[in-house]
Amino acid sequence: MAEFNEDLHPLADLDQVIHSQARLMVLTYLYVVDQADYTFLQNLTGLTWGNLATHINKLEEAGYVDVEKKFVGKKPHSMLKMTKAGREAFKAYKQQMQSVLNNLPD
Amino acid sequence: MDNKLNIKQAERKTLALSFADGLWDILFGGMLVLIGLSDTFQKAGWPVWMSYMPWLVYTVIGIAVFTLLKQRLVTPRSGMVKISLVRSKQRLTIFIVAIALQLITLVVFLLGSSGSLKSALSDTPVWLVDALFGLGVLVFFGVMAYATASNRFFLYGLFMGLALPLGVILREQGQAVTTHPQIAAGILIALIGGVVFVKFLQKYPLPAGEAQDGRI
Repeated sequence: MAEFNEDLHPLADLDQVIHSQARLMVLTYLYVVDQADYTFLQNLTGLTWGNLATHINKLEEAGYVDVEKKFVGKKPHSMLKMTKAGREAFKAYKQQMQSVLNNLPD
Repeated sequence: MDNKLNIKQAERKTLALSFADGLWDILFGGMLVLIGLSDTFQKAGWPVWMSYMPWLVYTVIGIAVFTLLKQRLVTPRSGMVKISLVRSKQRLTIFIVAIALQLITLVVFLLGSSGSLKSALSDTPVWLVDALFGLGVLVFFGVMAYATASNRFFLYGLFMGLALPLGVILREQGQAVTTHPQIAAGILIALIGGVVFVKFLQKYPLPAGEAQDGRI
């Protein structure tokens, strides 16, 4: 019977909201700033508008991102901010992934 | 899509995008040219205070125009971001210290040029004052490059680093105007800023924007 690597268990607990290439990118950029708008994130991630909106919605539903809607002049403008829960979840995800990768066999 | 998710790299990219428009370069390049021209104006008989007036007027108008262009042309394209002061504390501290040192150096340089510090610095060789100013400029641009994550500031440091000793050499040779290298450096920096600005407008077109009902 193959030896079971208990250190790989964290894979099963990975936050599936964060464990998506696009959402991970969005959260990485939101992690290093206070706030950013859709345009800024779109420029940095290269995601299409629709794609970005879909992922932001998922993050907002999970409580990881706050979307503050306001008007600049007559145009609607949203600023995105990572919530405290989002920051904690992101840090936990980062630690889990680092632990998993560090314990992978050669 | 960019696959590099290194947090430090994300931070650098965020800062770099904030300074990707080249407007600072155009503003600063123009200021350098006019500070350099003040020497020409003084040689033409202008009083010292009047020789710096074109620079002062340009700076005031330049900052107003800069702010307007940032609001109307740049931010709608690059997007809006509030940089984290907590995360950027180290960069911010270094940046503020560098700005303060540079302002002090500039004041000393201007006072020295106008002769106000003549008695205080009478025993100090002129080349030493210039060398210290040049070192301050190099440090300042190095810090700007680090703080803004924009490597072209290293190039500007090099331009200024070459311009100042060239000015000293011209002075030693007895040339009437010794700020031509500085003026040339200012023109180069402003031109590069102009190119960066045009490329920025091409690379970041105006997005469609959010729909009136808040959807994008």
